[in-house]
Amino acid sequence: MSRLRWLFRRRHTKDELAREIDAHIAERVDDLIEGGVSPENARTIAMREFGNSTLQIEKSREVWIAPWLTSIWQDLRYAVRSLARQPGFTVTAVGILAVGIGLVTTLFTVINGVFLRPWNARHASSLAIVVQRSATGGVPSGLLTSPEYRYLREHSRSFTHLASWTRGESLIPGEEPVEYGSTATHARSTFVSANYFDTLGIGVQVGRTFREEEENYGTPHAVAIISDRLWRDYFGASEAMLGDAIRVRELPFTVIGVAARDFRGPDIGVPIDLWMPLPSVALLHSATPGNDWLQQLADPTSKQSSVIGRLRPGITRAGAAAELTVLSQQFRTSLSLEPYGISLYDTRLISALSANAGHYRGPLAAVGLIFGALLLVMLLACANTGNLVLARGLSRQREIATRLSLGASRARVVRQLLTESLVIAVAAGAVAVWVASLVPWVFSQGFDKPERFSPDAAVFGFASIMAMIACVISGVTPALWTTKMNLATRANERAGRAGAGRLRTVLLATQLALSMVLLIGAGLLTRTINHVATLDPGFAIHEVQAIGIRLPGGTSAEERAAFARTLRAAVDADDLPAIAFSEFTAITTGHRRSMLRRDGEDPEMDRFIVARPVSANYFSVLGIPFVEGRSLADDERAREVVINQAAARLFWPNGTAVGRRLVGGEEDYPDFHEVVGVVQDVAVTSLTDMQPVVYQPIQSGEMLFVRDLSPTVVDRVTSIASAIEPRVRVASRPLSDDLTAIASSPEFMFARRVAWTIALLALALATVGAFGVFAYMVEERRREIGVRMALGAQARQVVWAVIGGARLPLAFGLGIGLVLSLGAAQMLRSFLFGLSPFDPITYLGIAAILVAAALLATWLPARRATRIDPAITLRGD
Amino acid sequence: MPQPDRSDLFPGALEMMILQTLRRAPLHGYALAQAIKQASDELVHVEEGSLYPALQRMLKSGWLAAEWGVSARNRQVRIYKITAAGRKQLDRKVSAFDRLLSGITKVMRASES
Repeated sequence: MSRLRWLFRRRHTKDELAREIDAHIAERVDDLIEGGVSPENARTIAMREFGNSTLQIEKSREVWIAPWLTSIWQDLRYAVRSLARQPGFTVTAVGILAVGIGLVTTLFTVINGVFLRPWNARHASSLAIVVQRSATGGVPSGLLTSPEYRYLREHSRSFTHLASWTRGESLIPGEEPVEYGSTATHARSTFVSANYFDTLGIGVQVGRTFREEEENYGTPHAVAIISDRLWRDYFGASEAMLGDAIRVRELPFTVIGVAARDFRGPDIGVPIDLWMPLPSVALLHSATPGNDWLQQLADPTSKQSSVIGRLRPGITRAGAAAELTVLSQQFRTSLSLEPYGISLYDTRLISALSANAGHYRGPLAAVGLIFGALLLVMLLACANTGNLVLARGLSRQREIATRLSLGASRARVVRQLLTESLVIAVAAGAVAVWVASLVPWVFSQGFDKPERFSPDAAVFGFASIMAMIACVISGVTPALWTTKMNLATRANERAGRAGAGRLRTVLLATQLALSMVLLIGAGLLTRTINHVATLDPGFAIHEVQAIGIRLPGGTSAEERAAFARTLRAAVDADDLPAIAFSEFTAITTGHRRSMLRRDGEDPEMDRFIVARPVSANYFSVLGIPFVEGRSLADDERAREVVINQAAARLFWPNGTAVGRRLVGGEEDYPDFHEVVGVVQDVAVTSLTDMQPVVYQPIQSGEMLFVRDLSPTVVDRVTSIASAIEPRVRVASRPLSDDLTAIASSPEFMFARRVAWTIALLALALATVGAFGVFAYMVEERRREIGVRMALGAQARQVVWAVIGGARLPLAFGLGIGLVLSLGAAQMLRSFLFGLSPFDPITYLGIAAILVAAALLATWLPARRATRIDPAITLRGD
Repeated sequence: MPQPDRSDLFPGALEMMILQTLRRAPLHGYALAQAIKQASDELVHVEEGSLYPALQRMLKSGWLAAEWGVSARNRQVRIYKITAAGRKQLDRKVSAFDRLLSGITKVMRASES
């Protein structure tokens, strides 16, 4: 500790020593004068006796500094000088490492921003997200009911504030049309409790936040707070608009405030522009039938409230969760409802995710895969730099040999060489952080909350760790090799070179192998598109035409239902082939689910089953074969369902399903469905994963299916539909488009683009690395090649001799790469839609690309070799 | 660490004498040198070139503590005093030194006879 302090207080302590020594001399002078010496002489004598005072100070000072510290400083200065002498090498090495470290650090910055950072709210550490879990401690269902939230708010003592919000109809905040004067735009909105802003510690820049009486569940108040963005970009940032009404979905809402400048809702995801009191959701969303929001907000079984609390100082999350659990059970038991527990999370997304890991396996796996791929690219960059460092070490043999023979220990020289690698790695790390600091800018282009992505301590720490890893990987082996060779003495130079050659082979092979893994991943993802078109979904998908009918926006659910009924009747009356109806197309990742259990089971046993509303003839039109039983009755009130084999296995593993009953709904209001048939498993939500499906009866829908690909049917249906509603739009397509649609969704297109970008970057790094190595090899063998040429070797022979040097690394690289890829491809399995991870076309294609890249990387140096002039080379030695 | 001790003293002797001297009273650098000189009847002359690095080493080892004070001539000086660790070190040194001395004495007597 005192040593450290000493380093920082160097100058100060140096002064202390000087003062002390001055005092010493002065005392001596006084003694001498008292002893009868003249003052002038006394000074001279004292000074002579003491000797060189600066030297004394330095010597006393040195006591404090550990020698290793001084020598590290020496090493650093030496490394920087030596790197500065070879700017070409330095820039290349730093550049290559910066690409590697920069990519992982950038991704980490994004991961950090999305998953690891708390919400953008004041003192986010004392915020707690309140979610409900089942009594058995199962997966939290998240949302609370509004009456339960209000009960907790009233009775809990653990929180200073307990706020709630709801997003209206869907889980994703809806875009409401907003108008003010002549300006019209869309704003994402959320409905919040009056204490929402106070809970988050967010203020308004103009106006005020909500008052308690504005959260009125009897007569909703139409007031609104708008975001800074909306205020500035659309409403001219005028304070005069406070108290004015904006029109939200044609309804007037009085603007009472503008939220703090950078606040767009606390949650990462969709930025909010418009906040309204919770009960006012009923004003905007009451038009939908069976969805009266005031009733829902009073219904103790209807969950739609997200809840967040601000903990009182000194209260822990565990304590608060225990209190809320007791309160929640009190509340629910008093209403004879199933008692549930309450869990609290901090506001980092990772906390909620790790509690519900199962739900988010897909996205997390994707992030993990990309991260793994980028780590491979970083390793590649390290191997590349390692090669460069080794080549440089070989060309410095004389210098290193001299140092060793002058008595420097091997460890000392290795440390010196490592210091150079460290300087390179740290410089690359700094570049990487700079690159990562551009992430917020990228996110500000159309994404939400760029401030979450500015580099913080976590990003710096990550980049430092990566730089250290890079230093070790790219520096240690070359440093050991270079010095070992010199220990074996220059007399045995040939053996040393052979060793270095082996090491180079290993590094090159590693690069090729890593690029191969990444290229194969990208290749497999691309091949998937062609592959899915050939998949058999289990029904007559290639013979069916799908006709989608779109009503104009703003049509109410009741109008839609009426339209579909009329259409069904008109189509049935017409002389057309059999037409089936559904609300969905046949294969789509988008789906509805029903909570179902066996008759007699506890509601706790409810399972989420994919639900498909279909007409009775759906199975015959699409060619889905029955295993057992019959199709649905053509009557919606029949309360019958057809299930697939997977569902039959799920509910009745032993014994028949037909004739049994499935139940939905709460215990007191059960909803029975009789299973009348079991159909074969066919593709519904995915092409490979056959999930349990329950087909429920509907009379009509907006998706029509007909087993006839001729355009006449479409024309007929179009004219029928237009006769009922002139503004209708009809679009038809072969149902087989579903197959490719599922593999060319934006997510998968994006995944493929990312995979190719990473893989091509890896290939570029490997090619550049191989090029560097071979260029160096040609340089090293200059003399040999010169002699050969002088003896009459043809240019072609020389070229092949050089390219021949790539055989071994290429063979090893492809071999190891193949083995690694076979393993890595397994991880991609769930993204491949049944394409074999060992798809031979991908493997052969990628191998060809790698061979081509290796040839290119060796051919250029080989060409240079043929231009060697033997006369000049031989004279040079 | 190389010992910058250029005097004829054996290693550790200077430290031992400094500790012993400071055990009696805290002193500043110059007074310390004078005290050792007088106590040894001017047989031991402490070179300044050894004294200050030795004091710094002992500060670092925690055997001494130092603070700024005023000399008899009213001059700002750094005054050194012995710590508990220093006392322990002194005891160890002295007993080791006694053993060494008796060993040397025996050898000298044996070769004399």
